Amino acid sequence: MIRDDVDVPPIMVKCCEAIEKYGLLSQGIYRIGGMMRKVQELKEKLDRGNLVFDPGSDRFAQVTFVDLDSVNLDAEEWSSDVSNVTSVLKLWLRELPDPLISYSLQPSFMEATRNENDRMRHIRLHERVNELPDPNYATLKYFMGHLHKVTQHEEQNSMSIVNIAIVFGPTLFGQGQMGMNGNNMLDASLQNKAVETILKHYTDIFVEEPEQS
Amino acid sequence: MGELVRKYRVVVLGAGGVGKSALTVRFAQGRFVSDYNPTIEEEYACDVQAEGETCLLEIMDTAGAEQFTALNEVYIKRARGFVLVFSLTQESTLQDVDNIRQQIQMIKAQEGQSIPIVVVGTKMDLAREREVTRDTIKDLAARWGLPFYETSAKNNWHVTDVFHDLLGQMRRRYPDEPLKKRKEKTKSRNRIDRCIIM
Repeated sequence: MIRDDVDVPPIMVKCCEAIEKYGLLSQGIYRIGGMMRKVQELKEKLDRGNLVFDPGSDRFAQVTFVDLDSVNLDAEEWSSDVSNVTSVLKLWLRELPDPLISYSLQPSFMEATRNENDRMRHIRLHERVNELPDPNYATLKYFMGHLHKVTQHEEQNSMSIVNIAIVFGPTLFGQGQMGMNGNNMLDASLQNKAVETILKHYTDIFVEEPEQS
Repeated sequence: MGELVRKYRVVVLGAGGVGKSALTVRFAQGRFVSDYNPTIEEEYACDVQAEGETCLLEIMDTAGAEQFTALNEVYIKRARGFVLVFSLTQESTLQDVDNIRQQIQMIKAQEGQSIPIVVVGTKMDLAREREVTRDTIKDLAARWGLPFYETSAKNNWHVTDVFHDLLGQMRRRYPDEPLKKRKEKTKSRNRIDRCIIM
């Protein structure tokens, strides 16, 4: 598929690779946050002169990769406690100007998620995922593949699909429309349900090609 | 149902996975939850006796600090008292407590001194995994001027002390809190549990 060729942001690949190498078995991976000071330090290192946004586009996948290799996540400093890396990645996702699941498509994602019928919810969300812009699609596909691996080690890391979905609902949908009246909890539940459904059907939504024999 | 009670709203805040729900459920329902499900938001209502008077504690159990930072401000504005939770087995979670503590002081600044706060270290039973020393706790308690409790929700160590201390602080701080009628809330997203703690 052509859309798979679109580059996934290198910072995400770098973090996910380190997390898969050192963190798949840590209990509460992605739920347990890192040390704020270390997270900030790593974020600055990864940010500093390494990523340049294309001023002509607000798309995060248009970033120009300069030299992310200057940060070594294999170093004991980061590999010994991978929660700093997971926190940086979550922070990076939260700070995207437009969330990975773009604001403009969120109403249709929410509507799809409201389906009580599991099969219909799955199908409708599959369609919504296909409607994402190419960079978002490629990035979501990559990231869901990563989270899929994480949940396959649930027995060791305690992070089931439901648990991962609770952690990533607000991260993938953003907190932009969080009001001051605090009545967005219903939205939050829906966001979690959407992530849960997509993750549960990861293989069907992103991997299997029905028309191939 | 027409009974009048003094109602105090409490919010439980802290980093993800430190045991906020385990602490809250142990107090509100007298049982230990050993499952590992992150909370989105849960509310519990408990009758608690203080100086011969029955008070109603409404305890809001929240998601870990990192997930819904935007909501913390809403929780803080609405609450009278705060339970700030960290894990004795993960020193970095004290940093989250410090940040939330400062956020509370900023938001509640106009209400003057002495905001009812209790700081709680959890997982005291996991002695071999302990990272936070007594000395660190003594030092922070003195610096922040706040009471600290070391607890274990699993073994039910010092859990009730936390909420009784906080209720005492709230009663001293807000002595004129009006008597209100109990009312059954029907917010569907929340599970309201009733319990009586003597």
